[in-house]
Amino acid sequence: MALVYLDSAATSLWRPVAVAEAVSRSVMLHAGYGRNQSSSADAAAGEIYSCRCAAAEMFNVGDPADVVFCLNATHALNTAIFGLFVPGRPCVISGYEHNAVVRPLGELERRGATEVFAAESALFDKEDAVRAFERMTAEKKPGLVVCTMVGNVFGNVMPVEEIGRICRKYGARFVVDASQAAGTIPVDVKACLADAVCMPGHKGLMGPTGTGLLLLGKNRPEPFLFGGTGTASEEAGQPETSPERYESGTLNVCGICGLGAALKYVREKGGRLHERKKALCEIFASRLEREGFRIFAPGDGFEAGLFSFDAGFDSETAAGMLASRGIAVRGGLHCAPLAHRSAGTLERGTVRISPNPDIGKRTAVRAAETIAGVLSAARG
Amino acid sequence: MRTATYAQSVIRLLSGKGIRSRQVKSPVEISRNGCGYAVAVKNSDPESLTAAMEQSGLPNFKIYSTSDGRNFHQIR
Repeated sequence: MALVYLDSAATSLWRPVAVAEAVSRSVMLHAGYGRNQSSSADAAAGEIYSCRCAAAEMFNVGDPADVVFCLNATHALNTAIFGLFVPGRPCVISGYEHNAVVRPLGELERRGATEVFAAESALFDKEDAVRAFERMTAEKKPGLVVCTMVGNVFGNVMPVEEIGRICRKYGARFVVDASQAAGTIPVDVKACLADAVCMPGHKGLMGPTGTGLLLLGKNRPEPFLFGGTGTASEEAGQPETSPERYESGTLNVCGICGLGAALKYVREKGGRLHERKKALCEIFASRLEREGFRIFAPGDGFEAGLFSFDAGFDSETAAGMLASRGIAVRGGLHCAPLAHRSAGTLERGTVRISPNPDIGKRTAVRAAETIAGVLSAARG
Repeated sequence: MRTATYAQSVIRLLSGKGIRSRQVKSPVEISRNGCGYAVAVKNSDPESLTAAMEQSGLPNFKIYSTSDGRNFHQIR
């Protein structure tokens, strides 16, 4: 049986042909960026800038210079968190953050630089989330607030625009983790009132791995990575202006060229792919629900193109059983134990389904039958 | 200009005015600092180039002409 890939929330398996072509062309033609004076370097510079422009337009950044290329969302989040937190003042996060947020903040807490508080709220309840952030921000007066735009375990969409307004009201800096949102639901840096929005290139944007974006807002982070930038070599300090201030070392030129092609594709066809992912989620969820599995989903559809369910036994074991049948899902805690603690699924985790948009309806129905059958038999 | 990103933004702006250009490293003959960038325009009329730069709202630019790539004469 051909692989049925249901883990695009981790990494998209299916990518537009244009992405592969752009990467391949870059591998053959681009020797570097911003270092030598060859036509190869010129060509790379042009494509890199095109990708910045595409991202700036897609995510309402304003200036392409405020689009910083990173290796992934974790790199972008570390840059934003370490660069924007205010020493001595608390940080506030949601109860659904990924370890890419929890661990950098945990490290800062371990160093005694901050204290972290979670604005806990009910799953899929946006109004409760707003109330929780209002309460926690008013009480703790944080220097930094970090919130995921879409939870990676349950696909819960968080009200980041309202949270951004709360941050402005109380003078807190605001970082948004758009890892699951980018390429799936609209991401608008200005509307969020965010100081930084972070995302990977390899999930909903369907770009290559090794790419990510840090989109800058009003307050600028201190740099996280120091080194050569191909500019101002005579100065010992980092350049003052973005993006070079945050882009030390040689960029992943091939990856960024692929990301540029991916952004173009998503801009043109993203809506259709999103509808397809939602419809696929519906097929899987309804079949599993008929079999008595507990589905974690909002009442109004699978907006984020992913959902989790309780297998009734250890979720990693469940995922392994499905993998042996050619169905790729993710089981366990999904690098987000905080989310599981919030939802009460910490003990055995959940199985997450996030379909690739290229799966046909008949394949989805057959795979849903297999999942339901295998896990029902194992559950007993 | 100090960064490749800024050079690229100038190239795009000039392209919008119908002027083709390319990014080059700042020649040491005209740049006091290292690792800078310039935008090279071939056979352009300095007046129309100046007008295009001013219309694009770019501040504090300088224009140099050269016929051999080694000797530069500032014309703005």
